[in-house]
This record gives sequence, C-alpha cells and structure tokens, in this order.
Amino acid sequence: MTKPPASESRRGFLAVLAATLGAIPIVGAVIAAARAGLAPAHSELPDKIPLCRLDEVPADGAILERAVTFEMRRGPLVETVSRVVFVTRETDDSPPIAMLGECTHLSCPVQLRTVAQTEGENGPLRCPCHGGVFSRTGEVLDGPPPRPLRRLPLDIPAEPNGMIHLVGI
Amino acid sequence: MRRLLDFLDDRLGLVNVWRSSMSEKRPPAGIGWLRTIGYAALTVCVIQFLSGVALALHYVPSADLAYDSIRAFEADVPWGGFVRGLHHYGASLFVVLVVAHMIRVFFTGAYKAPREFTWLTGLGLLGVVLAFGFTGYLLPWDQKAFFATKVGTDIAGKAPIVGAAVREALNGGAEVGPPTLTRFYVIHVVLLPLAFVGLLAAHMFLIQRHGVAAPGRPVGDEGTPGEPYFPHHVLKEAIVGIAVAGLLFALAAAAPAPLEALAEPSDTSYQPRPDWYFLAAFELLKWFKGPFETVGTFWLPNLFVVGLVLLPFVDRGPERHWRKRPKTTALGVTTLLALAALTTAGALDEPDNPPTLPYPLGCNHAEKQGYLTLRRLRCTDCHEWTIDGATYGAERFDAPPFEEFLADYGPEEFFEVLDDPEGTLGTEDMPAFDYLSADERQALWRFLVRMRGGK
Repeated sequence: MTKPPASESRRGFLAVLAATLGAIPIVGAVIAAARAGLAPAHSELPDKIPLCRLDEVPADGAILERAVTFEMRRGPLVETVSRVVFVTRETDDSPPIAMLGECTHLSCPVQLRTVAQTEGENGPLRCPCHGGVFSRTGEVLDGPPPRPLRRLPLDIPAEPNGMIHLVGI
Repeated sequence: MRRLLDFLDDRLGLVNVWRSSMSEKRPPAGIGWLRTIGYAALTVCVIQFLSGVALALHYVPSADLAYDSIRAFEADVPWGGFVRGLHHYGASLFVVLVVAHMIRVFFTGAYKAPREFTWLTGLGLLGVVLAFGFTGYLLPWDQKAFFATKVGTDIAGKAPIVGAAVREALNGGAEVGPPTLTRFYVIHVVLLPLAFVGLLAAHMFLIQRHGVAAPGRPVGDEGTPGEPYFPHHVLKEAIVGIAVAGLLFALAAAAPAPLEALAEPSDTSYQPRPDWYFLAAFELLKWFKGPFETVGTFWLPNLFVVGLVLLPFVDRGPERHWRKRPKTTALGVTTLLALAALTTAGALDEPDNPPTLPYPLGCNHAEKQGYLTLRRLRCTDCHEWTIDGATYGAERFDAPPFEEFLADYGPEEFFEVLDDPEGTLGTEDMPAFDYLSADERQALWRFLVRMRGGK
C-alpha cells in the first residue's frame, strides 16, 4: 500500500467537510419543520355528553339513532363535532347499550334508516360502502369489518326519565 | 434584429439548445400519433395549473368557509363556474391521458433499457396525479369530500407499522376534521406541484437524453432518424393538444362541476363513492372479509405498484414489439381487463343518495350552525321543504311541510314546541327535542328566520 499523495487526501478531506457543512442548514430546517409540522394534535373531548333519556331507549329490539354534537378543543381552538350513536338494548330488561354509527372497516356511515325501508325495522345494519353487515347489537355478520361496531361507555341514570350520558367517545 | 438575437445568444446560448432538442433533433422514423399522448397530458397539466391558480385566489381553506367560497366562486366570479368545470373535468382527463400514455409505453416496450428511469419518473408522475385527485376532492368540503376522505385516510391507516401515524398525520388528529382540510390544501397546492415539477423535469431530461424508442425495434436498435422533431412531430402534438383542450372547454361549458350538500358527519343516509378512477380499488375492498381486509386495502394495491416499479428490471428481453413478447402482452391485457371489470362493477354499485336540503348563499355563521342542527335532528325526515320548486325530505313521515307552520311562530312558541310537542301540539308523532343546548336552539331559530325571509 502506498500512501496517497498529501494533496489528494487533503482534497478528500475538503470534499467531506464541504458536503457536511453544506448539509447542516438543510438538516436543521428539516428537523425544525418536521417537529412543528408533524406534531400530533392533542384534542380534548368533554367528559360527559348527553345522549338521550333512559325511557327513550326502545325495548323491542328497535334502535334509537341520535346525532350527538359536542365541542372538541385543540388548545385554544374549539371545533363543533357531531357523531351518530345507535342506542338499544340486548334484551327488553337489559341496560341500554350505545354504538358508534361508523363502520369499523373504513368509517363509512352505517345505514339504519335506508335498511328500515328495505328490510323492515328488524333487518341487519348495513354499511353502504364495501358490504359490511352488522347485527342490531353491532356484531359483524358479513363483509370486511374486522371488529363489531364500537361500543361507547355510558353513564346510566337511576330514574327512568333521567339523561343517559356518553362518557368518552 | 439579427444583432439583438446574436447579443442574446452570446449570453444565453439558447439557439444551440433549440437546435439540439427541436429543429435538428431527428426522432426515429415511424413515430406517429400514438407518441403525442404525453404531450396531450402536458396540455391538460397547464390548464390544471392555471384554473387551479384562479380557484385558489378565491378559495378559503377553512372548514367554515370552504364550501361557501366554492359556491361564491361559481355564483359571483365571472367565468367562475366555467373555470371550476375546467379544473374538475381536467382532473379526470389528466388521469385518462397519463394512463393512456403509460399503456402506450407498456405495449411498445419503450420502458426497456436504457429508458428504465424514464418509466420510473413516469410512474411517480402518475402517483402524483392520483394524489392531486384524492386531495383535491376534499377541498370543496361537501358530503362526497368528507366521506370519501374518511375512507381514503382510513385506507392509509391500514398499512402495517406506520399506518396509524400516517393516518394521524394526514388527518391532523384522530379523525377527518377541519385540520384535515388545511393539510390537504397544503399538499394539493404546495407539496404536490413541487413534486410534479421535479419529476416532470427529470422525465423530460431523460426523454431528451435517450430520445424516443424506435417503434418495433429491439433493444439497442435505435432505428433510422426520421424527420426533424420541429416542426413535423410538434405539429401533430399541437393538433392533439387543441383537440384535448377543445374537449375540456366543451365539457366545462356544457355541464357545471358537481357540488353536493355541505359536509355533515352525522348524516347516515349518505352513501359515499370515490371518483371513477378509484372505483377499481373501491370494488376490490369488498372482496376481502374480516381478518383478510388488509389484502384489499394494503397488500394487493402495493403489490401492483411494486410490479410496475420492477417491470423494466424484470422484463429484460431484447424485443420491444408486442407480438414478439406474448407473455408481457398477455399480462398487460389481463391487467387492463381486470381493472376495467373492477371499475365497471364499482360503477354499477350506484349510491342512492336522496337530495339534501341546501342552505341559501350568504348565511352567516349562526345561521349555518342552525342549518347543520336541522340536518342533525333530521327535521326533513318528516317535514318536507320546498325551495325553488325542488322538494326535500319527508321520506319517513308526512308531517306538515315547513312552509305551513314556519310563518306562525315567534321564538318562545317555537322553543316550547321543541321541548314538549305533545303538550303544545297535542300529537304523539313528533319526538321531543328538549335535550338541545341553548346555542343549538338559537341557531336553529336563526336559520328558520333566515328561511322565512329575515322576519
């Protein structure tokens, strides 16, 4: 092995130095922009969202469909958000259950009203996009959905005309 | 004049560039009309850029005002409807032409050595064009925009490992919402145009460097030079460019671009569908059930992309003519037929979306909140409403139409009816809306006042 002439190793060193120094401002800008630009949005939801009165929940296998509207806060920004919730009971005496009216496949709005018109009031719930079918308590009967409809935790009042609240959505 | 030209050329050297790339460039003999599709796509690209700038000058990228600004653009801005039509139909035509160009390159074997990177930059351009389409249709913030984007970002979320992070980065939060609109706007008007220009520059540079592949000749045989690129082939391209632009202008003048009702996430009567160029993907998603769903959302689409990327490196036979490489030709034809069949099946699964009550142009913030509240409460399920001769709602129950009772109420009476319909109207048919917040009641009232002419 012969040592490369001094001028060549000097040139190589300068090339690495130039490339490194040249890259520093770009790397700095990329880090700063990515840190701010891709920072996750922290949103705060209300602890309790009124859903419906206990005595409104149907007892005969029917489903109450309710749009709930609430404020979502992202720091100082306040956004009005609405979601569809299905409320029903497993049996006539069991406590109410609430499901988010959103397909667990790709979030299409699960159809309740359209189904009621074509298959009667006790037909399954259908997603209008990719053929997902759910039972009236949210279990997957057919199609792509990987999970049952999302159950939402409830705060159920003692008195029959009291308000049911969603606790977390 | 001569001296001015010499003066400029001494400093800019453009005459040489002109000669080498245009007037003295001699593409191989036999290239004809099929080699003008790329230029046609470029023509649409320019129309998209200019109409997009005009739209962006009037568009307000916020969920509160985006929809209004699009309606105002069509109603109030001179030629606004026409320009939005150009941009809307142009998006479809852009996809058609880029894909047609790609099909031509595939069947003429033009992607083979030394043009592999021309193919790759072209694939990149196709990806950018599809991303333009996907991010563009969220921007009007109508029903289609909102629900198709929910599906789209959810598909991105199905990718292994990085999916959830990508979905959240696209949405700007856990769900599609106002931040998503801002993000898609930035992607659509800043990031994608930059990517497009960069890839296009590389694509054009490579076309200059390697020239056009000689039709029917095997790899390594660049054919015999034909007539100069300028003016002979440029003339053909100009004619095709005029035909394409003429078609686009005619479409934009003939039919306005569609705009559905303002997005309302709780509207469960809405059946979302993507634009036609995503219908094949839409149809594919129906086939994979339960645990196999990611086959349709992730594995198959990405396998297809990987196949296209690897094509020029795997298919290394010397022949370019489609008849001399039957396997590749058969693969291409099968793929096209499959895509066509999937797209047709997707198109036949037509949504049955009832017309949604619109709100008048020029509503203020509170009135629009009232309009959205009215849709969330599904008032028009039972009370129909006739506006400008069109009737909306009352599919479920024949309650009195809005026009019949709207004029009779003051705010206090109206709120009493909402709280206790049985006590005030003596009917059990109307459910009570006693759970509404004070803001929702006020907004609802403001909208009704607006609808009855401000009194």
